[in-house]
Amino acid sequence: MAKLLLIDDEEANVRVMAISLRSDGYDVVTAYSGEEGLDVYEKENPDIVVTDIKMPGMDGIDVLKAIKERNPESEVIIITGHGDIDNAIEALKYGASDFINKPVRDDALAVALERALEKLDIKRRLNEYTENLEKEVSKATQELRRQSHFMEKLILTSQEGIVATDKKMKVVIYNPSAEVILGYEPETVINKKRAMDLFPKEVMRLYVARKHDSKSIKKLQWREVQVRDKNGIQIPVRFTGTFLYEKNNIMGSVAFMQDLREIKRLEKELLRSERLATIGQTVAGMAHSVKNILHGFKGGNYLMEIGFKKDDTEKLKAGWDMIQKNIRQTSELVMDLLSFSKERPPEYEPCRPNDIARDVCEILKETAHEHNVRILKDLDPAIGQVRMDPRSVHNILMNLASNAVDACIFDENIDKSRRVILKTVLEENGVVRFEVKDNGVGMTPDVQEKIFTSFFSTKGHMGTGLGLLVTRKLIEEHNGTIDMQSEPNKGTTFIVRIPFERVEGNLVNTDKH
Amino acid sequence: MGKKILVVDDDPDVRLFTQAVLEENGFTPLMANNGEEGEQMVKRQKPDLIVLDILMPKESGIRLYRKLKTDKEFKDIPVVVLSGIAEKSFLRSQKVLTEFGGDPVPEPEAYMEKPVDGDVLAETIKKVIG
Amino acid sequence: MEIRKLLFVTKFEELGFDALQSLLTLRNAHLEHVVFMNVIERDEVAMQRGLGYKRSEAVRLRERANIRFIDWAEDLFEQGMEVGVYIVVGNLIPQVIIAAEKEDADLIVIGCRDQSKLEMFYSGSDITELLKRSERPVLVYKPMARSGIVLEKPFEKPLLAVDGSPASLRAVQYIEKLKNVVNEVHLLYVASPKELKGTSNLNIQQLRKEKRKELEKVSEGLEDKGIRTRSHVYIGDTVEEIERAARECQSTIIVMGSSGRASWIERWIGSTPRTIAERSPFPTLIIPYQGD
Repeated sequence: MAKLLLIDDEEANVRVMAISLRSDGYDVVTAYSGEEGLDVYEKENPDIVVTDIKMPGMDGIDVLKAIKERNPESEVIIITGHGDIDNAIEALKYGASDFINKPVRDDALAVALERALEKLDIKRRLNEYTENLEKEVSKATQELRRQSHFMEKLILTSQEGIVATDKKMKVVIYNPSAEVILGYEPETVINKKRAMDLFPKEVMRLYVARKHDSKSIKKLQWREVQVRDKNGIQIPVRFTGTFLYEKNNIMGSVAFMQDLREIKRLEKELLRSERLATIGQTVAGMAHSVKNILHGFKGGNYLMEIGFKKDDTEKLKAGWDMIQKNIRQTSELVMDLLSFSKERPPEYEPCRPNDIARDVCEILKETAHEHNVRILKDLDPAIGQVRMDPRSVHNILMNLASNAVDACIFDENIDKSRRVILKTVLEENGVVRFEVKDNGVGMTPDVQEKIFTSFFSTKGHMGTGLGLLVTRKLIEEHNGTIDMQSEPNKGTTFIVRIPFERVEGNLVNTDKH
Repeated sequence: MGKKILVVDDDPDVRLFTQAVLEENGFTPLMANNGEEGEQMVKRQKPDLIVLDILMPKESGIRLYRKLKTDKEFKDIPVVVLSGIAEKSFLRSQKVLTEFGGDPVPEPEAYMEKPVDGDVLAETIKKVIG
Repeated sequence: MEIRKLLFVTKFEELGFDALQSLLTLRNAHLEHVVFMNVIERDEVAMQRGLGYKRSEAVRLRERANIRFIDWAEDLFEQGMEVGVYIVVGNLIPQVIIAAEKEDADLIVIGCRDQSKLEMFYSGSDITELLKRSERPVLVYKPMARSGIVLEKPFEKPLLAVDGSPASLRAVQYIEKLKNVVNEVHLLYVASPKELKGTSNLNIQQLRKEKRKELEKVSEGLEDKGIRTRSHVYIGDTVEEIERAARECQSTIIVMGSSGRASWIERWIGSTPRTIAERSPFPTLIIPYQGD
């Protein structure tokens, strides 16, 4: 039975979580502060620690660091606030095995714990395996130690990539970590390549001259840069480099690199998992909605059956009302679901972007007219026929344009003449620019910042709806970009750029409409 | 006169539907809008079975269920939960309430998550009531 | 008067699940029941310029609110809370008052959007109306400052504005009930510059000393109950100084009493609690006092 330590300053949370974990068969010990948590950790030596991130005194990150110091193999799961992605990343950097959002739901915790247990198991097996190996190696190692190649060993085993050169910038030291990052074999580098052969110009510029102050090597500044490996692939690293001087004479240079790929990957994965989580929440919300609708249908259906059987008009009518209400809800839900279906590569086919824009205007005209919003078109006749995914483009424009109409409807200022403009422009390099411009309520900078990052969720703060999320997804799938300009009370403009494939021999086919 | 069945639900559509199902199957339906009304009805009418929603104003089905099942007089009245709230959440909530200093309560005689078929509801009630 | 039941009025945009979650710290002050409320306002479902009422729109909004509430409710139920739900069509404040009465809520929580001036004016007037009409404590909840982040423990460090009136003593009593939730209470007396007998430093020191004494009584009472306090005397415009104090003390919430009786005076000179509740970026808890 795995032993689990739960740390949270909210006693009630701890009690509630402990109940369900015990019933899942864990041996649970608890603590109500970071400090107490460490005491309990020392005494009980749990396999897994689950800690809240925000606590007075020692917070979750402190606990994580302290535990990792005592035993780097410990699995620590961090509980973060809803949407608190910064802290989650911070925690992962310090070696947390996982993070879960508040409020903690059983299923999310169960998954995190399973993963942690799996990891523990793998580590255990690895340990057994390496222990044997280590015994063999240790003899040799001891021998090595005696031969005081201490500095060399230090360089060899450093986690940081180290590249040192002589005064002519020819590489003399190129350690295994550097090899992992850059990919060149040592024999092709040492004494063969110069630093500038390994690093791009902008990185070379970061070498700092520390002529008169050799102590300042401590104060080297780390920068995040991209270096290229043997195959030309960009690799993110933290980099610092310096020239080395001896009595005012240059004697060489040394550069250090920390590989950021793993962290970047984690950050990406985190974003993705966050996105998946919100999708999960959305789907959960939809499940409720489906259940309710189905119940409505069944109820309505039942009433109608009885109504027919007994010729009871009242029951018939009640049943029919219920069914109608639920038909409306179904169509809405289905539309939502369809637009949020799984990733789909764009299906390129010949189409006319201007026609799509016209269709969208046509569809929205009625609603817009009802609310005194005018829809104007400003279409570039040079666009003609291109290869794009017309369905994606249609959805993108439809989403943005109906948002724009909404923005006008929500505008309280009745004196303003409200309008939405759909514009298309043929740009260079095979790109069509679509602009959807409204003079509605606009957005404050706060809202603008969040508009693409906050996803629809029943628990989220913003409730921007699935719309923009879907739109962005579609645009990204089509290798396009989306930008936005907005000012409160003035209006908003969305600018979408979508690359197209040329239609053979038919590019500058003028618009016939 | 058929057996008396109390329906506690705040959604008029659900009440309409459940009432029709009960009448159709020869039961005598009694209606309550929320947990508080439901409790009064139980005391006054001593129904043979209760169809209980969970999420309601005034008092939720979770509290009413607890009250009934820890009351000597009413604990034997069978309860069929009919709700949009997941059974898992219901059971967990009862477990937590027990832990926070309450008497343990048994699981309901039947738990039906919406959507529910009229016929299935009728069958379940018949099976529970014996 | 303990906070057992809380009425959580939300339009979702301004008051979301994270705010709700943070309020659950009140469980340490006996909170056991949360009632969700969503009011679908007539103008949301009215067609343009009073062309009538769009029933399908009301149904749609109601369903949307219902789904969110079911989701929230499952979460709260699983934490051992009691949960209720109201989704109604009507005017916001009257409906809130009705629901609060029906449910006998101990605290009404309502969001206040920190957005453009225009919008603030609109939602502000709702807040004013609620404060005017509610006989129950009202918490005007706001995401902190511009960060949009919701505090995890909103009651941790309250700033309690005291002026010696019966209303403010009522607020002190209320804070006592929150003993297990607050960490440290900052007491504030804002003296008017008119109370100064002169402009010298000595005069200022004298006034401070005098007012500090008044605060001492309150502070002793709270300390007796085991609540840590710190006292401050500020001199200047009441609203401005309260806000300044809240910033300087890094308060999580501003707490004040509000006298219903003096409402006719307030109509002339403007009410401090209402101004703070509407304008300040801090969450504001207003305790009404009805007189004897």
